[in-house]
Amino acid sequence: MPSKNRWNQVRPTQYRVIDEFEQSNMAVGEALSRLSGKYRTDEANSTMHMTRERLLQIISRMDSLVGLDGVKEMVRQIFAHVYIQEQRRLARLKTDPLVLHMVFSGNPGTGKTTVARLIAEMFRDCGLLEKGHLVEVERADLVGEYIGHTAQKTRESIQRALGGVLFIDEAYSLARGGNKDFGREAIDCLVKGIEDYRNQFVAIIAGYENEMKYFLSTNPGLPSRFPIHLHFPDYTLSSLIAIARQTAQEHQYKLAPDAEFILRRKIQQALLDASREFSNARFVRNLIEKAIRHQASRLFQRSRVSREELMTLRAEDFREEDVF
Amino acid sequence: MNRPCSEVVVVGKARSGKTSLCRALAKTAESRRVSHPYPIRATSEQQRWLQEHASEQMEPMELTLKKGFLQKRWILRDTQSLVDDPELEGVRRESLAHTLRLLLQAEIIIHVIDATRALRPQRSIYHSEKEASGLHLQLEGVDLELYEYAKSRRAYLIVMTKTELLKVKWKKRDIRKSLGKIPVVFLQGTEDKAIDEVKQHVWRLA
Ligand SMILES: Nc1nc2c(ncn2[C@@H]2O[C@H](COP(=O)(O)OP(=O)(O)OP(=O)(O)O)[C@@H](O)[C@H]2O)c(=O)[nH]1
Ligand SMILES: Nc1ncnc2c1ncn2[C@@H]1O[C@H](COP(=O)(O)OP(=O)(O)OP(=O)(O)O)[C@@H](O)[C@H]1O
Ligand SMILES: [Mg+2]
Ligand SMILES: [Mg+2]
Repeated sequence: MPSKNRWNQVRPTQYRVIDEFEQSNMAVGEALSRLSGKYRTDEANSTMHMTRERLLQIISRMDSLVGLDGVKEMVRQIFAHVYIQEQRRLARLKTDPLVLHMVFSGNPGTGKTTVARLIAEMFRDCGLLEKGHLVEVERADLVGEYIGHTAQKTRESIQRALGGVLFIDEAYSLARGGNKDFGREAIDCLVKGIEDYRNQFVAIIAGYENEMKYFLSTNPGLPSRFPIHLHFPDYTLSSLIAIARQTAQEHQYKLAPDAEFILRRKIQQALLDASREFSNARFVRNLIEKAIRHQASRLFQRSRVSREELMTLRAEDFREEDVF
Repeated sequence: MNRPCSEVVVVGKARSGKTSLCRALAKTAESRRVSHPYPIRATSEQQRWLQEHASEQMEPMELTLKKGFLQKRWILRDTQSLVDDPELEGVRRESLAHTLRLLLQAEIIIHVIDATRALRPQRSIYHSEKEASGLHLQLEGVDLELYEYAKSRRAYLIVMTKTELLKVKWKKRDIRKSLGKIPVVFLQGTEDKAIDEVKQHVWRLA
């Protein structure tokens, strides 16, 4: 006997939701989300069929990253949480819904994109994500120029990310423009996408630490949807050297002792140079890649080169300024 | 002339201060008990259960607000707290369904939120550092779902209660900003001035 209502339109489907609520064991929260047109089908597709050993093996993929101890520990915690929730579900105990969306904060080149890509693959390997790819977007990919354009662009990005990770770099810039800005619309649309495609993708928002804190405070729905915070601190000098060695090794090069000495000095200088933004691991990688090019032109002068020489980066490869 | 008045429904989590708010409103506005039948009624069984079990519940009140010569009337409805428990049974479930129907049909939704629970420094189980500055609105569970539902409604007001109990410094401006266009009133106890603000919003939203 719903009465006629002058003030707002109540749809028949909404009464049906309440009837169903009355006759089943639906929780009030679920009834409310269905009243606002959202559906969730959690329980059914929570699927992590994993042995503990296999999981440890997957987690060990992070070991190749230099430093980042805090981040590695957090990721371990996340997997432990997921695993134990699954065990509790099997034991018919109460479980929290899995919310795996994350906030990454840290300066440029501290490994945010790298870790996001790794996490996507790790989630795929343990069955939490179907494809495990990474879709990297920024403000321009989400925000449109006219009304309706933003929703469309954001939706498309989410759709591309289904089965994997949607990585939003400099997410803060979405909240920058004030209430009229289309960035806000993109945030709303993202939140909606997170509801609509529950468990089908993981959103990671990244940026500088303070900006991310501000970003989360601009919409009351965000903090609980992004419960996982990973902070990426700047690398120490010794970590940067280790990253240099590792990068060289990946390309099948090694650093001569005098090369390592000069590399250390260059990094120290860059760390002290406050006038330019230091790009952490990226700076080091660029140095190595530049040195590889210099080594090639140095060796090209000679008629004969040994295998050993082909593999070695020397001090002079780092010394001169870029000539190209 | 006997058209039903529009309804103001007061909803929120347990112990958030719904009944206190209704009582304060009833005290400072012209109000009387509703005697004739109104469209949405609880069954007597539900009513009895509510009286016995809900910690305190006000019966529906007719509330009259005046501005100059103008006057408007509402039915003010206190409700059972929203308990997010799938295992609810019998009368408890029925009366909660009743609350949901009230919510659906009301003209104005007043969402009561206990500030001591919803305003928090930004932190989470996984967060690596100690604390961020100030308090932010972080809605969770039923509060978040209610917010998501109600924000698309035309007349939605949030009332934050118990703000005088907050120990850390916080800014009303931050909270307002995060809520965008949704109006919010901050109550310290049931002190009169802020209650007036609630009345003004009700008047304006109608
Ligand atoms: N300090 C303080 N206490 C408040 C305030 N508002 C309500 N309270 C107290 O909070 C407790 C719960 O208030 P109620 O009004 O009964 O809350 P309710 O939402 O009706 O609770 P239920 O009906 O049980 O869901 C009571 O002890 C009130 O005195 C406030 O603004 N400040
Ligand atoms: N811990 C690490 N060990 C080895 N290499 C690393 C590590 N961290 C980052 N790198 C390398 O440094 C480069 C920059 O890293 P990445 O792109 O992940 O940084 P970012 O934090 O996403 O930077 P930005 O904020 O500028 O997007 C990459 O080439 C990556 O391989
Ligand atoms: Mg990056
Ligand atoms: Mg009460």
